[in-house]
Amino acid sequence: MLQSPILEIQNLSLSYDHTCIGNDISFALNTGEVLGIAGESGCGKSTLLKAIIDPAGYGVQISEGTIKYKGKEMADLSVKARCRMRGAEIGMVLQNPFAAFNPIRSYQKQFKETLKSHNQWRGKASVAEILELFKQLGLSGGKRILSSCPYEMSGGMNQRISIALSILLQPSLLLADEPTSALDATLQFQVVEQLRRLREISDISMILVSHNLFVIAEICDKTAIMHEGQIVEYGNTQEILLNPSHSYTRSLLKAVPKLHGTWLGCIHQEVAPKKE
Amino acid sequence: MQVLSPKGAQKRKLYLRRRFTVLVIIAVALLMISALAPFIVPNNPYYNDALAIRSMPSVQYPFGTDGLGRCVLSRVLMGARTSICATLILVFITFVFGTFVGLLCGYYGGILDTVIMRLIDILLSVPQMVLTIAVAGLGGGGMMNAMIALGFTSWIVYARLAKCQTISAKQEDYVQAARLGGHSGCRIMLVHILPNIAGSLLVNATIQIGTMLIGFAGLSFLGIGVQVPQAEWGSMINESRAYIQLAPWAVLAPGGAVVLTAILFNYLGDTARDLLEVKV
Amino acid sequence: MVLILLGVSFLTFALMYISPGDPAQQRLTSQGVVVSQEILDRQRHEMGLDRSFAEQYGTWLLKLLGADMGISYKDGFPVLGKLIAALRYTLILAAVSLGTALAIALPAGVYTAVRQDQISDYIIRLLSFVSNCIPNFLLCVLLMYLFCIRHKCFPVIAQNNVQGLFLPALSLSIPLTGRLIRQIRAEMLEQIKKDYIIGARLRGVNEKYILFHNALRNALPGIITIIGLSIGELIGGSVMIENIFRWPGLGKLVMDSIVNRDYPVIQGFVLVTAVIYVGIHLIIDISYKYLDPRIERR
Repeated sequence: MLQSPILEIQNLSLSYDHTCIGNDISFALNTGEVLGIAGESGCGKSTLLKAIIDPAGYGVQISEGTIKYKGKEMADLSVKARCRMRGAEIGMVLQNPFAAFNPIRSYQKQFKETLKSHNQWRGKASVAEILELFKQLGLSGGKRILSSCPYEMSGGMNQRISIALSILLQPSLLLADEPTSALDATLQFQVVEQLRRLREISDISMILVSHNLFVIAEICDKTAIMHEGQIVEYGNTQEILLNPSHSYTRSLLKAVPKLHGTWLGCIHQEVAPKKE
Repeated sequence: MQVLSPKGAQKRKLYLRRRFTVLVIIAVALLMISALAPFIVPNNPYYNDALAIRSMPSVQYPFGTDGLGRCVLSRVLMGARTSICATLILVFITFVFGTFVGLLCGYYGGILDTVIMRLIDILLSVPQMVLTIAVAGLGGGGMMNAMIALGFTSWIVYARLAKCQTISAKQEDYVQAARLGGHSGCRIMLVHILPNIAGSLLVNATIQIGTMLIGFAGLSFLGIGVQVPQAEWGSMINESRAYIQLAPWAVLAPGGAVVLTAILFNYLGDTARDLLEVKV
Repeated sequence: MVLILLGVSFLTFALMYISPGDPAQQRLTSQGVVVSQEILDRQRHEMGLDRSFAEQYGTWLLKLLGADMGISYKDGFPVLGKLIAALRYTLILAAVSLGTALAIALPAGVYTAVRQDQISDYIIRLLSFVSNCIPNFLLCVLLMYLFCIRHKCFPVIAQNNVQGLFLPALSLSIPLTGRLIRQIRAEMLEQIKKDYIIGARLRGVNEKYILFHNALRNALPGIITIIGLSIGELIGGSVMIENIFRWPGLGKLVMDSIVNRDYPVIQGFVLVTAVIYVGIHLIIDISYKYLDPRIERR
């Protein structure tokens, strides 16, 4: 059944401080779909996400084009409305796992404060909800996690807990900005697993930005390849990665290290994940 | 809360540079005026005009006269000479001494460093003002004593800063290279490290000028600094405060001079710090 | 800590030993006695001033162990008693000044950090900059003029009560407020620029929560340090103020003692102040442990 797209971007042009970062970007994201955006560093992928969630706060200027969320033009929304949308409608996972949380306050306090800001805090019931979510996502020892502080946790754990908090508010759209780039291989695997499990338990839509093609290959339905601010190729992940049509995509794939013709990224599946 | 764009940063730098130049010009003018004070005073600063006690500002006495009939403007100018001269000498001496000590501690470390740091801890465990007053008071007053008293603890600022910066400079490549080149420690410190850390030290020195100036005035105010009848802003304020109702200009003129000079040098130091983007 | 106290007392003792002026002579002249060489010698012997430096210092140290700081040269009262009586007044003055300054500076510092580079920020920063450049004795003179002579609200010679507290506290808190505003503003700015604030905003956390429960909370260690150091400045700055307003605190006591060459009191004062300073630093260090668990306790 055809569902209306949750996010529609048409002819978007972005600039950061009068320098053009993104040019004529267009795509549509359907409910429950996961879109991967790949490209080298500096091509504008992160700026695109920033433009969706909070252009004013990041200093991104939208010079042309529209961003429509659930059919509504985002530029028409008031500042307050946008603020309310952040977290509750559109969630974001950052690249730096330690940037998401205040390092010296316990997770419980920070979860509570986020829920309270969206009028969703219900005391013990909320705590039970959080613990349940942790279990579903495979985070063991929920009570211990809640009472610890972020500085005590590793990068991987922080990232997973950050994803858990992003989902707690039940947003319809999750933006992930290079969620695995700051982590080593086994932790990357855990985070990817987390996102995969997320897809199973909800129909959340995601945009995953990464320069790591393996991560995109794992969970994304569609892929867009960005180069110097423009989308050069867009379509089904399988098709693009196996039969790239654009020359840039081809050179990007060529740059991936192969061993006897097999992508090296496949090795991580044989390594058992370390228990935290 | 946005970060300044490169264009914005450039504009700011230009603005700061302009501000800095203006302030330096004013400061130099002030120095020249105070140096030439004996030649440009309208009246004799020590002459008691019995007929003109506490008279209002007029053509003959532009800032009026004080309780003993002396020209306030002339005394303020002479006071400028005394205060600013003494302050600059003091800041220079403490700057040189403190920087030198800091360099040694930072570069060589070891026992010398530990001993000096302990000494600094001891000196800092007493409120600076009290120590200054104690040294000045026990020493019997006078400008020399006041200078020693103020200098007693003010070198510490430079020493700490110099030590901190020397330690981080030691890790830099150019120091390692100089070492490998066989240069002596002394040469490395003076020729290589010092020019690189001079920035924040000089900013500190400029800000200290204001602090020392106020310190001098304070000691003179209490009577243990520059002795009367020598003209000094602090002692002038003390002398005139008894009849502030009758002749407010006798207090406001020297008071204003202290405040304006302090503002000038503090602002200059702040601008220099923003311009050089050093951490003080 | 003991090392510091020893060092301080040694330094002070040495300072007084080498300074010109004779306490014995001072005492005799203040009592109105005609000084002849015999009387002077006898007085010096009585006060123990004719013994060697090491002896004098040693005796003082020993007496100290018995909690005896000696007796004042000026009026013969025990030093410790005088110090404690004066300490009470100074503490009251310091507490009121610091309290007032903080009550204004904390909200103002937070406000200017949030409203960075706007008009209100510039105005407040300008005011605090200027208030830092006004010497406190000048401020005292002007305030006295304003309140005692022009408007006759307060008597010129202050009584030792709440009314008499007003002017000295005001003179101390105005420059202090200026300094505190700048420092608190700097601490808050540092926190507001951190990454986790962006993270919280992206989650849609209320600005109120972000400001108070996160930025301010994380700035607390820095702010507590600033407050602790201010206490030190207060005790030092009060010397001037207490003398001008004749507030019977430690500052006035030590000033009088310096003028009268009352060595035991000066010794005692330095010791008490050093203890207070070291104590404050200890409290700051301990508070760090609770405010920022990342910092290892030494």
